[in-house]
Amino acid sequence: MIRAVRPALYISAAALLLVLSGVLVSFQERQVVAGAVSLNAALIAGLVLAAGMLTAGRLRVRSGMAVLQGMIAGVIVGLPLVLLVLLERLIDLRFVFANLTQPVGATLLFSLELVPGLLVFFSSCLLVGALGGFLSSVSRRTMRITVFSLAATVVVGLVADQLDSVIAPVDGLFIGLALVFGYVGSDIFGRDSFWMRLLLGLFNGAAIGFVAGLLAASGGLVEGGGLRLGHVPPAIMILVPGYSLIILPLIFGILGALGALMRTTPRMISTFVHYGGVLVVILTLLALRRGFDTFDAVMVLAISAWAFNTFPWRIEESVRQFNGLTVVQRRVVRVAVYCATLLILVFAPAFLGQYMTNVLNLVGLYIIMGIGLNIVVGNAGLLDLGYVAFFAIGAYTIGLLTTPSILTCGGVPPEALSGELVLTTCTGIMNFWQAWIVAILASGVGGLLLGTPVLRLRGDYLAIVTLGFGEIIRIMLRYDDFSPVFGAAQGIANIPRPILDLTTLNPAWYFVFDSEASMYYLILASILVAIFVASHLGNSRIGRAWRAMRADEDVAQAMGIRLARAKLLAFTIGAAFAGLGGALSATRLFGAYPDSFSLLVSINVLSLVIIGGMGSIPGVVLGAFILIGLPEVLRELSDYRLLAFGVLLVYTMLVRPQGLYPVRYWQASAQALSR
Amino acid sequence: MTPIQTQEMRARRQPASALSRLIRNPVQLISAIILLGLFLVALRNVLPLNGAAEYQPDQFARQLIFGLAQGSIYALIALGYTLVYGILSMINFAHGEIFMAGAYMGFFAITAAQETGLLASDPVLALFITLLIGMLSSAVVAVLVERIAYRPLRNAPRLVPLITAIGASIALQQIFLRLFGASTRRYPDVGWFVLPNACPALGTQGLDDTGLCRGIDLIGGRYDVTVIGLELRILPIHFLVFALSLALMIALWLYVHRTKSGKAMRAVAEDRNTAALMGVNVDRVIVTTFILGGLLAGAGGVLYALYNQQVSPFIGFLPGIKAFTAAVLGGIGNIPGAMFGGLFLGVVETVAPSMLGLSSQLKDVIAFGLLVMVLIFRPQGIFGEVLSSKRG
Repeated sequence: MIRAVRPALYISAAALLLVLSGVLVSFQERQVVAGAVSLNAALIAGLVLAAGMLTAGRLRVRSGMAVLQGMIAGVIVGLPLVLLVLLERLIDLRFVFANLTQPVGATLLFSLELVPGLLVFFSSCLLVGALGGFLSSVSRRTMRITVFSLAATVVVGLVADQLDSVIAPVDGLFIGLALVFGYVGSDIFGRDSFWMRLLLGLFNGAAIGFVAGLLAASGGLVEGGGLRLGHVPPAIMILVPGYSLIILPLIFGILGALGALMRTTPRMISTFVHYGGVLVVILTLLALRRGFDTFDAVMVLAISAWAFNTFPWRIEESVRQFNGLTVVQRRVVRVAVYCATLLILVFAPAFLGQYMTNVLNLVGLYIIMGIGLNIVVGNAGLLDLGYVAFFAIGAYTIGLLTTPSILTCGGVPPEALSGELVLTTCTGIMNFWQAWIVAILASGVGGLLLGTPVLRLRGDYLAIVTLGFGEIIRIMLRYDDFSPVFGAAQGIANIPRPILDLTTLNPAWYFVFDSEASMYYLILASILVAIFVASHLGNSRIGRAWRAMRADEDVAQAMGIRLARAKLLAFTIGAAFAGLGGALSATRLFGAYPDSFSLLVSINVLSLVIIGGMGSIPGVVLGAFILIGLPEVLRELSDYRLLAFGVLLVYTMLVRPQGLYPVRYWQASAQALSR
Repeated sequence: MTPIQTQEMRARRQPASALSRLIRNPVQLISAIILLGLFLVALRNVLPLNGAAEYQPDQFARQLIFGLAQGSIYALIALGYTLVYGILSMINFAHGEIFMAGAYMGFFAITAAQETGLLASDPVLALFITLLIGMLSSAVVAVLVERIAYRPLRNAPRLVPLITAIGASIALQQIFLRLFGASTRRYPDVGWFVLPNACPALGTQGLDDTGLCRGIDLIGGRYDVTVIGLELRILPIHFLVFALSLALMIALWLYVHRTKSGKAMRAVAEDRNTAALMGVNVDRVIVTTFILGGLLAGAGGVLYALYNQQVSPFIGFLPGIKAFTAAVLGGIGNIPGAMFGGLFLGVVETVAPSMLGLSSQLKDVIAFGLLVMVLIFRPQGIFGEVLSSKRG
């Protein structure tokens, strides 16, 4: 019996935890659907729904019984909360549960009196639980579609404020048109010719792009022009003025080709294009109507239900189909995906605005660190808990080399000079680019030095030693006696932004990376380089040596792999990646501060590597977006991110040790792990 | 060929003397030079070379007492690490948080005792209840962690339970943070007065707020005393903590060596599979181990909070790491070793910064440095028992 309702018990505990930690109180104000559904209602409903589904799903019973099971789950989740509200009337819980700024009852009772409120709350728990039970008894597909579209609606509702100016309606319209025309128009000739379809899609898309270019050139989209909708200026207008008749057909041609690919090729492409198109539609909707009210919610629900219904999320099948293609087709598909991704990434800051660009930069820095740690943890199987130390070394190297110091100020400490004098008379020892290389090297050397003595240690000792090293470095950076160099708790401030001076090639090429958007491109380029290097390393001789070592050290050694050398290389290269990221981070934040290099950063990076999938670079990217990006976008949840990381680490290890996006050779290593 | 390999191979060929090994390995040599330098600095500070020494004997005695109290807490936590490691060969990374849970729940218990007036009327009973609740809640948390995060992964490769342990540690800390708030909470002042006869000897120091002398205050009192020419400030709580910890450790020792369950535990530590074949219920032994570790950590938590007078969700991390250091220092898996290691670390950490003339900011560096040094050079700990290299 207990076994049967265990999911409901876990969820009940989670609900109690959420309620007692004051989450609901702080979520009360936040609306998912304006005027209709608040975040706390969505949260509780989601929990009860999940409890109902999981409990009934576990038993695999007929639908009547499933509804009953769902209701039982609803009781299991709802009853403790009801009791809590009653208990709260008797004694004040706020001394113990300090985060409860308001009584629990205030959030749970639908602003009714105690008895009717509890009745309504309890019956809605029953109802939602029953719904969950019912959903688990219908076909799996229906259940998935319902749950996914509900979740999608809630997520869209939560981030609607940040997304309502991503795409101008006109842009959205043209993108949609290009995709649809590419999709429909490619069907004119024979059904089998891959190239014909591609060409037709390209052509159709280009035609749409040409129309867009004409409109843009004729000024039909500017302020006061006939076609301008919504409050966002259309990007096709401002993107490349003057060249729009060439550039726009090109861009939309690619989109049209993607639309054509939806027909012929594997589900992988079609799935992605399909969901991309749906995303564009939703974003266009959000941009057309600011705010997110019931109408929008219903629309998004309908659109996503349609999307999930027509194109169910079947990654395995997509991958299988993709692997069935010819080499050339595969290459075309790959190139198309890369082009599209790059296109989106390059133009992302223009669409996303300041805040989201900032978030992307943060995610990007974590991606760089994650790629580095992935080499150490994922490839070589060395658990490094002091990874942030190398990040700090990179940041402080940049700080020391690019800010005015006693060496460049004619022997006078820069503090002694007045503000303007510092700027005019002394610069850093190096410019950013030179210092960046030094920072990467310094971190790498740091990894080498740290690695030499500790790599003999077995896995868990290694983790603790690296943790100790990380903390030692942080304490040393904070240490008052070193303040002339490291600035103690204040750190190093006024680190300049990089300047790219290519005036020798072209007098106009003088770029200062002074905005978040410009830093975005620097970080993007670094990520691309990092991914390139890491993936090539992973597939090289040393990469295979790492994986062999991770699977079994003794066997690897017997096969002639020099363990110490391989480990040291992994450690050094991983550290160098951290240095690269640390340098970027310091220049992005205009400073290096010791308290930003706490153990938590290491834990964050470790979490995203493990949850994303150890050894998998796409996993790192996915992990960074989910673990770092999502809490930044859903600000309400950011307080609970660490709690989520902890729970997710345990959960991942228990249920899905290969991570969200496992590497392909996982099958083999999964067997090795399950020994 | 790297120095590491050459060293390993040489060690295999002939048992080289410690000195020649030291000279051949650059890392060890550098570390030895650093240690020697530190020793010389300490010597200079202690010896009265030119005029008075910078480091006075009474300072040392004062720090020694504090260090022993602090160290006995580390020892209590370290025992939990050592017990679990001895049985499962895994580092229970969440043990620091288990310690914190005891301190926190003890806080609620003692506050409730204060509210109901029990603390004023019968401080001994109130303290006993506090200690008991702290110990029990730590044990419950330890068992929960074992059940949820470790048991399903018992046969997984070594890194997997370590990762879940890190996850459990973060999750526990965050759960306490979210439930009970981020603010530091103050333990109430406790007065446990004994020996009213000592009042005349105490003089004005024995008077409480109301000007009365009720005896020596074992919890909140602090007395300036001169013993054999050393001016000491004595906090009886330090002795109390030390004595209680010692009592608990002796109880653990007796449990492990004198009871049937303890014998089963030692059997499982020796060889889990053989023990299972001999009819030992391994699951039950493991749960017992976690309960024991939790009880000791909970007691440590309450005592720690009693003399620091404050709790927060973050107090578990540092003592946890330091206690792990202590466990390694004494040879992990080795019960007397953990006791010794805890006391040693407590004393070194308190005495070393001022003896070396370092800022107290570097107190934690000493602990971490010791951790790193021990793990690198003597992972089997001071009392031997080679577990660290390749077992498992």
